[in-house]
Amino acid sequence: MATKVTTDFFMGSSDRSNSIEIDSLVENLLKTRNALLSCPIDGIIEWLDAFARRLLNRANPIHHQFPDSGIPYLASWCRRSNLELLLGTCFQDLRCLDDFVSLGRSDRMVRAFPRGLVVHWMAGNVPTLSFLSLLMGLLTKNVNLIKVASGSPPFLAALLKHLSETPGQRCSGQQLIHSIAVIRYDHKDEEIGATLSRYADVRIMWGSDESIQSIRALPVKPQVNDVAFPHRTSFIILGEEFLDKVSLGPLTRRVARDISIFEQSACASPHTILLLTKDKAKLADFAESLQDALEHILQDFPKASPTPQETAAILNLRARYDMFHEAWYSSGTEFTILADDFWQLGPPIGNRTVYLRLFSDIDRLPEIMTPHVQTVGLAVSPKDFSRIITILGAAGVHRFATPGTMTQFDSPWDGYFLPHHLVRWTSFPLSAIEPRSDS
Amino acid sequence: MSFAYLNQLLKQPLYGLSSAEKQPLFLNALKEVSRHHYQNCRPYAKFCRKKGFDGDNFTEIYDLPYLPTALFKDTLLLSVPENEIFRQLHSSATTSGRPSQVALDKDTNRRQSFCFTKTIIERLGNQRFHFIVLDEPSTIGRDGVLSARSSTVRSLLFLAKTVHTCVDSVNGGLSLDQEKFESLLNSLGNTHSNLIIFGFTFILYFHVILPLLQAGKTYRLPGAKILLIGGWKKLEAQKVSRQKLIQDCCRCFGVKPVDVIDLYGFTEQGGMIYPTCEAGNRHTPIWCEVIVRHQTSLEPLGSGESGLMQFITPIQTSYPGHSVLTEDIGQIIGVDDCPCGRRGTTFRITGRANLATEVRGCGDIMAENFALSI
Repeated sequence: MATKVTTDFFMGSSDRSNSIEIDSLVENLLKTRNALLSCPIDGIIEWLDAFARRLLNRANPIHHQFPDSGIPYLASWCRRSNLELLLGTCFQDLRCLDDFVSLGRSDRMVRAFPRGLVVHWMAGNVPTLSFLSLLMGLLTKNVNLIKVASGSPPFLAALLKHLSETPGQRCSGQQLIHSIAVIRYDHKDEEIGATLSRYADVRIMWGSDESIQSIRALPVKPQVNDVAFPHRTSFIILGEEFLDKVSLGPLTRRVARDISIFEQSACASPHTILLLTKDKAKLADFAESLQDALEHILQDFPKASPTPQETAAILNLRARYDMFHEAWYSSGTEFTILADDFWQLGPPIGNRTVYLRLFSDIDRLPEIMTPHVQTVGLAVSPKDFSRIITILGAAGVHRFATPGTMTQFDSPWDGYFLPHHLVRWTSFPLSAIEPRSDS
Repeated sequence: MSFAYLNQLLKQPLYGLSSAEKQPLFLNALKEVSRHHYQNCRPYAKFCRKKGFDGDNFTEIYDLPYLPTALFKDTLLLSVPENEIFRQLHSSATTSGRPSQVALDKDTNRRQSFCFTKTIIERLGNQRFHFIVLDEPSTIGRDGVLSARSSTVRSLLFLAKTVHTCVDSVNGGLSLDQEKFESLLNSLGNTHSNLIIFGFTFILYFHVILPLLQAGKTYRLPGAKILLIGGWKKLEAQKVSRQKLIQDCCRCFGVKPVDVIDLYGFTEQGGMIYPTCEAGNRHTPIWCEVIVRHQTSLEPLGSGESGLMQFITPIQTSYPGHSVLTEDIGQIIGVDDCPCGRRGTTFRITGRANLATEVRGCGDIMAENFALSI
């Protein structure tokens, strides 16, 4: 059976290597479990914080190697303050990852142990996600095996190379780095997928509904824990009080950022903007301001070239909207703003294409909800804010964000506090270690 | 409307004028037809106004707005009254699953037939051929609404002395009737210069050539012409290149590469047909021009640069299909300088970018699937 894979990163080396047996690869990774477990969480955080400082150095060649891959953002994620906030939100007391703690109980002590091997199946749409997914596994002291999309650039391996060169103070960076492997293989190869899946204690799946279904169908250990991040889309709601023509600029710049980053292929990228007003003139003002903002942001986020089919789809929409509705767009295929009278979300087109729609009744929002909605960007009055988050939260929205920050990876994400799913809890009663008073 | 300039253009030699000689004639006809669409197709007029275009205020063909071919999948546009439409053409919908649809009045249909016929005769010669059509018998039958496939086959038969089909539907698939095929070849004797074997590329390759070659069966038909059209998207998906197709054609039928003629055309501009010349290039005839546009900026590109192909022709007057941007990628090779001697813009179609990607994202989108939901 062909169960060999190509490695982007393995045994601390980012030299790409062909034909590594999965069995041998996993065996090597699992050897690092004890070293990981004995490493204090504060030592891991310290190591990642030092890595963040290396990344933030603009002289670091990785900035030139992967210029638009969100490296400063990743660095900010690895800062001590952020990691402590992330883990603190999940576990109350970070020491539970190192030892038994009370977590506020007077009768029991608990400890969060790693589940073992976390296998991450990554999608190719958002390059930063593979590293962030890995971080979750590392911070919970798991061994991590990341399968990246076969056509994706070696971004994760490049980051890990820099991480491997970061010395640890209380933890050996070399030991930690040996617990990570990055591989790639043809996703259609079910034998390799099945072998990996059998080893996994946790399967983290990022991708389309179809690809997640195919991973879910692979054989697993009975106690495996699955975390899936399937197809998601997002939208924005803007209140009338934010739509005054004179003050639109800052708002549309933030919206343009959400639309432009990751070429609108992230779960949290907005594809529809709902304007809470009946005033069509406000829609036109907003569209023109957004057009300026999208044009301006091209300097910071140059447009990736669409495929001919995507170009055809964009031009088709533009032509149809010019003929039957309204459209604003760039001279090339860089961005497209469409306006119509439909009451629905999207459909998502991508390539910086967004629909503008007016609405006036907040209570009707659940009508357009789909199971795919992840994030809603909100800029509305406090009163409307409260109603909208209650209505849409109940209707399935996982996250609300301020325009301009929609695509920033957060915890919880897609409804999960991810680190929670990567540990298993062990407890014992305090009475077991107290002196017995039996006579 | 009389379309005097257009009629004048159609009287010119197919590839005889230089670019400089052609340009004023072509522009006048184009303005005439563009104005007609602007005045008679309301959605098109709205589209043009949005671009500051009033129908004929252009001096260069680059300035003429274009419609994407994908638009014709969702929208039936008319520049003539509905009661003047007598035929609708549908494309094969191989890429998106949604066929393009265009409506023809008698004048447009007549012009399309004229252009098609003239181009084919120029390339194949004005003589009658024995046609072996590698397709099902139904493709040469008659029907009310024509599929692009049967329409194409039938439109070629004006050159036929005899016509036979040699492919049957077997268990939902297609299969060469080898006995019939060989019997037809035998009946022609040793002269093959009046034989045309015609096929849609995917049928020709997957249902005829490949099975024959796999069975070790080859023929010697020197002088015969192998005429190919369409369907190459399916070959691309199977990683069969155009060169490989031509090589295998030659090996299977014992012909020279120069006798394998690949026709290119698309439903949105029916009648426009671009056969490969003896040098392997394609040419714009007097009634057509081609522009290659950058895939992102959409700006026109120069010779040798690859981009999206835009085709411009004034012959369609029943619908505004006179300037369309296709999803095909190609490049302009030169102007008036092809070794074959034909004048006009020389170009090549190089294919379409491969969309196949692995696991797409969590916020993944399927741009091509959007249209029907609106």
